[in-house]
Amino acid sequence: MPDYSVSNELAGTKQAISTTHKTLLGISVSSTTALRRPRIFDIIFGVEGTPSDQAIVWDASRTTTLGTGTGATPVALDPADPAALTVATANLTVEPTVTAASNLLPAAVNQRATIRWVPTPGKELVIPATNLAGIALRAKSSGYTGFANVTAMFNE
Amino acid sequence: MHRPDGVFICTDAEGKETHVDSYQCGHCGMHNVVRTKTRDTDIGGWCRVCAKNVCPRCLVTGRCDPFEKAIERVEARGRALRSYGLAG
Repeated sequence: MPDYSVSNELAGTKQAISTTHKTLLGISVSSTTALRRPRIFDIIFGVEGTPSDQAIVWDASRTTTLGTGTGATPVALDPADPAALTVATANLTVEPTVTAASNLLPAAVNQRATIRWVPTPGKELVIPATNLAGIALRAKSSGYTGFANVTAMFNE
Repeated sequence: MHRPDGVFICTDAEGKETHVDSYQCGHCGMHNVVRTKTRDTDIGGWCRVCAKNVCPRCLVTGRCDPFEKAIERVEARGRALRSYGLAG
């Protein structure tokens, strides 16, 4: 299975974090014919605003629509691999439809901290091979209103 | 944790790394943080049907719904809708 990396740095205009969840990056299956199960195996969350002591809640929830954002092209970690079938949407301006109580990666940390999550092989976050199924990587904060970055690596 | 399913690596402003293990719920797929000296009852439970750790949210449902089966159900629904011409 080829591995890919994608980030909200790759496309679009970053959206400020607010008190409600803001999707930084959506990773979705978006095809009726070329269906595969993407598996996310590495996620890095961090902020790029002025450091201060505030909490940020990071989240990876299941979605059933793409939302509105800028398409980002996942980069193959091995240059010999073909382009990804999985679609990435960065810096969303309209939130996707999020499945209630489907947060797969609950993490609340200080804004000054960078957080990386790595599963053991076989324990990745799996997206069903169904059109428009996906996972939204989101953030919210009660005090921070700057920008945040997320990078995810997946295979398919 | 003896055999963690994942790890959160938190790097603070001074560059100090903190590693926190996580386990994956066998029913919903969520990765739950397991902090040192957490009581067993606080991190969820054990499903005796599928022999997997389960998160507190799935534990209270009292039924076994393995994660893989749930994924297959979603995919089967998508295939059925497509065959009816109802989904794009």
